[in-house]
Amino acid sequence: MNVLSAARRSGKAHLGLREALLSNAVAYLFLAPALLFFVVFQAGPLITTIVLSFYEGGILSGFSYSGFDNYLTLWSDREFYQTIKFTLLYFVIIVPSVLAVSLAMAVLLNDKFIRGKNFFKAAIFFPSLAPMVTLSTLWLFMIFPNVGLINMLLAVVNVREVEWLSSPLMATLTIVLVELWRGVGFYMVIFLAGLVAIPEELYEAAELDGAGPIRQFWSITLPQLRPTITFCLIMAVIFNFQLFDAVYMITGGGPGGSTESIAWYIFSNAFKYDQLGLASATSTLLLLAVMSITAVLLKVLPSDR
Amino acid sequence: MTSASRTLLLRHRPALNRQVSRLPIYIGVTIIAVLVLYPFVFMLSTALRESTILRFSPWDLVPSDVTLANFHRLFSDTSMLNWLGNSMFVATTTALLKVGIDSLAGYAFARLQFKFKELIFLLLIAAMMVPPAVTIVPRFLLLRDIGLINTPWALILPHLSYPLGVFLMRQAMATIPYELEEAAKLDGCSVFTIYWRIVLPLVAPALAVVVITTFMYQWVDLLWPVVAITNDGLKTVTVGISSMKAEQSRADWGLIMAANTCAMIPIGMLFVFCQRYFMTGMTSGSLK
Repeated sequence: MNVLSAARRSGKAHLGLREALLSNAVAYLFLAPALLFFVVFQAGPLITTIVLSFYEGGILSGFSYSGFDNYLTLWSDREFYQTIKFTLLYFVIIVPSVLAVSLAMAVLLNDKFIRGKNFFKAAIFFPSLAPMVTLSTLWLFMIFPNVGLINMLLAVVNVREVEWLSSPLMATLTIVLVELWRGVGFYMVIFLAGLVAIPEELYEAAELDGAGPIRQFWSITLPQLRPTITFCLIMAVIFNFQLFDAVYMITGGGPGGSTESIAWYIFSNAFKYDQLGLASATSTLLLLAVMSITAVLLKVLPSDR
Repeated sequence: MTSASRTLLLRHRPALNRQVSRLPIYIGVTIIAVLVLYPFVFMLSTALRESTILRFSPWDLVPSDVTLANFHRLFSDTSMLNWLGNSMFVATTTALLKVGIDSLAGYAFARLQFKFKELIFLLLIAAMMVPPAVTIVPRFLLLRDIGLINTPWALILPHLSYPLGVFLMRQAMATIPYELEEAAKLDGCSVFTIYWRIVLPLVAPALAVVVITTFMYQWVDLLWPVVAITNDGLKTVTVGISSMKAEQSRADWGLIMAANTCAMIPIGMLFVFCQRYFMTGMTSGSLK
């Protein structure tokens, strides 16, 4: 109101306001398609998920308001408890191992006298482009009882046939190995980009001071790489919360529900048992978990050098 | 030996020593590279042999009797041709629509002034963290209500809302010198003409990054296509392969490996010809 009346008083300001409105309109025209899809398929569904988490039922049974019932059901559901247990175990193994292995590979390949660097980089990166469906199928093929390649190799060194999918721990490890296979190349490429940015003079100075390669790694590489490590850690957390394909393809959540990831739990409740309300409550908890862990990581780990 | 060649040899000795001292690194990365790539070679080798022979040595990678019998069965007994066509249509359409939408939005964020700019951008960035599984239920209900479940559009439309491309486009467009646009503005060009004629050609590599990463994401996605497509003829390649029962004890490995080979062909081609684009796509997020 104030702005408008002020603008009316002076022709110049009037022009300024019209220009401002016009440039806003133009900008929003550029934004319109992206905003439309964002509202319809991201923001809207996000709010609907939270709302639906307070409703019971599904497509066949219809929805009815049930307060916090879904959350109470989750609290006492043995399967949900197993899902949390599996997710924690999986995270404790996959996140440190995928980051450590990829960082080690990146440091080895960053040696300036290594030849054929691009070939090795491309080869190790390749699996991260393949569909998880294919990686899982290949892995299933290699651990297949009697004919599987891995069991054959184990037989050569006199280890009896490993039953990969019949114990909870081995089934979890199977999923971890497939995810490692896919993930290492991806993080390695990001680490390599971070390593290249570290000034060469730091290493030259350290060498003059008589620091060996291990000392250089701890005192120069790691501190200099902190922003990249933070970025990769957050990526690893976000990505691994999405674990679904390998579970769907390899274990089907088994044996005995011991490898049910959160995404799998949401999927099976929603589309197998028609418990859309319960699935939405799980989704809401997943959202809270991802948001709070990311916020804590961003707070704890400084991203500047 | 002339003195000239002797000095040449001496000068090269440290380089040779350096290479020898790196031998453990070479051995290590070679072993890793072989381990990582071996299963793909094994896949191809199994796809190309008579599937009645189930037992073979892991070293026997080149089949003595190369045959396309598995591919022949794949295309006649399963809907693989449909699946490939569906995936191709979905991935290509999404990539083309998305590069248009994201470059428009990226231009607004990089160059235009408007209300709530920071807030909207922050919301888009935050949305990148949300796992797709979180919104899967409402997305399904919405698309079912408008009758798009079991159509390719159920896979195409939701993907257009993922904000990574907007972010990439903004990054690329922010590097273009302002002077270029100022000059065009003085010549009386409209904002859209500047975007279309000046900015887009300059960010062509970034456009390629968005097209390729979108295509790849749609090609490999599984969770959402499994939910949205149940009709066999409308499945994508990944859903099709996942329905081929590789976990069963009587799995038809020759057929399954032929199907996976088909799924890998576009990826292999993109990998060979456009490798630098997805490497930049990934690393541009990590470096400010």
